Amino acid sequence: MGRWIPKDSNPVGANEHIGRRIFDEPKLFGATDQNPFDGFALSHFEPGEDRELSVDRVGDGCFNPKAMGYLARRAEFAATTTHKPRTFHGWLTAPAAKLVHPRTKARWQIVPSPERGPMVNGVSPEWNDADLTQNRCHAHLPVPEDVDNLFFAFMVRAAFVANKTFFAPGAKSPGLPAIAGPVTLVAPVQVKDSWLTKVVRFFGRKS
Amino acid sequence: MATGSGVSSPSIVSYLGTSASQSTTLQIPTPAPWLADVQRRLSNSVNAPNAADSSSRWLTGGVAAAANNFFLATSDLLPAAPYLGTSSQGYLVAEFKFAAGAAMTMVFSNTSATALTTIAGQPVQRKIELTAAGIETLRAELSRITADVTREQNGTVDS
Repeated sequence: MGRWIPKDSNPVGANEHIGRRIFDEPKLFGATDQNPFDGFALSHFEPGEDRELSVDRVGDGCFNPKAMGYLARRAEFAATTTHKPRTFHGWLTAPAAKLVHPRTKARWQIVPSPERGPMVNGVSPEWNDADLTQNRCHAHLPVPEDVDNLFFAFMVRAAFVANKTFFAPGAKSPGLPAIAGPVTLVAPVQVKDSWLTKVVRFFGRKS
Repeated sequence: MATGSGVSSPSIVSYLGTSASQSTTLQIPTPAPWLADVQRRLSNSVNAPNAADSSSRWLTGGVAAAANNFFLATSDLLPAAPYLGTSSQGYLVAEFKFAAGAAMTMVFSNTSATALTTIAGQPVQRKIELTAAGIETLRAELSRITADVTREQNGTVDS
């Protein structure tokens, strides 16, 4: 059975689920004594300098288990490529329809943008599942011209958090991790402490 | 406006755009119990000159000063100590939780404070230019915002 892969040129469907990767974020240097934030920091949802917010297309109607296996390895690889390695905790997910319509008269786009990784000799490489710089499920939300980056982050965060669905990856053993989740949150989770990840892994092993 | 301690602060009144003649009559409001903690966190987060670590965990002196002055002028209007973080652009991000679950995010640059919140079910941002606003204006604007935030929450509960 083939794994779920969005067609490269197909637009994102309204029922398709979109995931935002949650990594550790740097803390404010002089504020390490404050209580942990009982939510998701705005910085998790900040667009890049190109004013695009990267997301993963994770499945039709739910988080496809095989897509999770494919994406978890890429997310964990991505966590090692930053200047200071970070921990990958999982994805907040929401249906595409809820992300693109954050307020009255506002409608955004989710643009499919599969990543083939760095060019080789000036040529885009062929798709190769072993190449963790590639991501066939990648998409992005362009920040509208009239919207400030942080206001955009605020609206996207609200949409993701309202959906209350967080998926942690499975065990970090080599190969495809086991599917874990979804977990319905009764309150925003404190990602930093990673307790949710541990709980999900615990139940994931038992099932 | 609640003014209690009577501690004058020429630096804040000049920063917030109040004229020197007015500064003799204005007083800083009674500080919230958490203000000292927030001021210490801000102070400890200012990037030292030539610091090796230039990641977003640090604040510039300008951003820290702007936030400090804002909190000095308004801490009594805010619900509790904010959770302090940063943006990738070096802004200070302060997350406030009100009673009954209402929330507000404030973003501070060198010269402005922007409130991000949800009012009547719609995401809203309101920007206050700190260098142009006097203390009275600043407090009045923040009071309007916090009233809308709490009214929103109460309306949600009632419905």
